[in-house]
Parts: sequence; C-alpha cells; structure tokens
Amino acid sequence: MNCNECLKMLSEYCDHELDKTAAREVKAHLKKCPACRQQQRLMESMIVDAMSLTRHAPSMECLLNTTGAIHKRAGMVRRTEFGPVLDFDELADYLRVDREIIGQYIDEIPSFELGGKLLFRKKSLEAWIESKETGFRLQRTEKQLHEPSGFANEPLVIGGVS
Amino acid sequence: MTNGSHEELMLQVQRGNMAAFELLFEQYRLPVFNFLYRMVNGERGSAEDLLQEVFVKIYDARKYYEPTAKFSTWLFTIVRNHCLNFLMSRRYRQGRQTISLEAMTEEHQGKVGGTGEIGELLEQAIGRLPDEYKEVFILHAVEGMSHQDVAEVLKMNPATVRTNYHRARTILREKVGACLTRKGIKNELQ
Repeated sequence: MNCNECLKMLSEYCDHELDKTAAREVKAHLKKCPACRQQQRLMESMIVDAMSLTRHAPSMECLLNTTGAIHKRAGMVRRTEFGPVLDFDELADYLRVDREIIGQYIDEIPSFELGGKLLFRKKSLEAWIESKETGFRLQRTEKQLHEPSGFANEPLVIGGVS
Repeated sequence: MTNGSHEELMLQVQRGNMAAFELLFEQYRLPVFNFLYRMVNGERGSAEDLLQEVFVKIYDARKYYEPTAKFSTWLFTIVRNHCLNFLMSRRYRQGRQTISLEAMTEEHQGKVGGTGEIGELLEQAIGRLPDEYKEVFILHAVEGMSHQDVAEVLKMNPATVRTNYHRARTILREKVGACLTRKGIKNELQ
C-alpha cells in the first residue's frame, strides 16, 4: 500500500469501518510511514475538534423576533389599531377572542359580503356590542334578584371570554 | 442532541398547545442556529433571518407532522431544505464565490498559533466544503446525529451519507494539514 491509498482510507480507518484486510494494510503502512501517521493524528484531532467547535448563539433580538413571529402566526399577538371595516381575523383581534368563537357567533354578528369575503363594519359592531351589553345587564339583574350577592361588576362575556 | 418526548410535544402543538412549541424552540434553537450559521459560512445576519423563517415554517407545517417520524429528523429536513433554497437563490443572484486555500491561509495569518489552531482552521475549512459534504459533516460530526438520522434528513441512502462524510473529512484533513504545514505548525501533532 502506498501513501495515497492509505490516506484515501484513513477516515474509514479512524472510524473502524474498513474490512479486516484493508484495516490490516492501513495499519501496516502507518507503522512504517511517519508522514501518514502524522495525517492520522491530524484526522483524529479533527474528530475531537469538530465535536467541540464553538457553539454559536443567536442574538436576543433574533430570539425575540422569532418568538414574536411565531406568536403572531398563532394569533397570540393581537392587533390594536383597526380601520372602519374589519376582516374575519381582525374581528377576532378586535373582540379579543379566538377565531373559533367568532365562528360560533357568526350568524349573530352584523356583517356584509364583498367579493366573497365576509367583512364587518366597526360602527355596526359597536351597536351590536351595545345590544349584547344591554342583554347581559338584563340577564345579570335577573340573576341578582334570585341571588342577591354575586357578580355586580362583572364585564361583558362573549364566548366565555371576558 | 437528546430526543426525549419531542414527538409527544409536537403532537401537543398540533392540538394547539403553544407552550409545547416554545419548549421545542428552546431545545432546538441552538442546534438549528449552529447548522444554519455554518451552512452560510458564519454570516450571522443571514443565519438569524433563516432561524426566524425556519421556525415559523415549522409552526406552519405542524399539521403535516406524523408521529411515526423522529421529530429531530423531521425538523432538520425542513431546516435543511429552507437553507438550501436560500443558498441556491443567493448563488443565482450573486454567482458562487470561490475562495482558494491560499486565500484561506492568508485570511487567518494572524489567528494561527497557540492551542486551538486546528479548530480555527477546521471551522474555516468546513465553510469551504461543497454543500453536499458540508451538511453531512455538520449534522454528523458537529451536531452528533447518527448516519441513519442524517440519511433520513437528507433523503439519502445511509451508504451515500457515509461516503460523503468520509470525503468531507478527507478534504478537511488535506486543507487543514496544508495550512498547518504552510504555517510550520507540526509540533502539536507529533
């Protein structure tokens, strides 16, 4: 075996992946060749060095941006500024409830359709919320008549979320 | 990289548990970032942009995860594909940069010396590997994935992964060895 043949198989030799005959030939060559032995030591040192290469860390800004982007995707970051007309997602953010809840109340919520898209006018929503507040107030008063102590100052509830 | 119950956490993510996704992000952000960082040759800005994009992509793809797949290999498949798309589109825009071994030696003229120079040169040499060798080397030798898992991530035959890995290591040995010889650093290895 010459040096070129030995060096070609050195990586497999270091990982004990050569068959017995090839491994024996490499071993015999390494025994008599100091230059290839040096390459073997370099290879072994590189294996250790690769495992202990610096672990780089993303910046805090990157981590915050990433978690922010994922939360936004998951609908956990709600918009706070809205135009006069809202779409479905904006409505969920506006009312601060999950999209599923909007789905449950969709027949009740004032809306109109344009180009196949369901839209909600903020002004109509405010009127609808007012009617919900009145209904809730009446319901609460009725309950208070039966149970005098209780939730006198509890807020409006839509879909179980206050 | 430990796997534990990452598959179970991902199933919880599918059921809408955001805290489970945050745990997975916590566990994998460093291995994923280090893979990306080395694939883009240490360009921190690109690696950070890719990290953000890739985790949003993983979140979006949650419903496609099937528990029969090991979570780490599923995740790294997405990471690797996204990274390769980025590299390909960038090369298309800019043309591939080639840096010679000589340039590599010059670049690190002042840094070589004392302990750790092999690690330093190794890091640089990894950056110059062809992508198909680089990704195998990083996933197996740096991130500690088995050849079998690397094969699943890369959708390759395990034998091809093994071959690419040994080729990568042979190239690295040649490059690092040549740089050390050029700098006259031999004592450490004798």
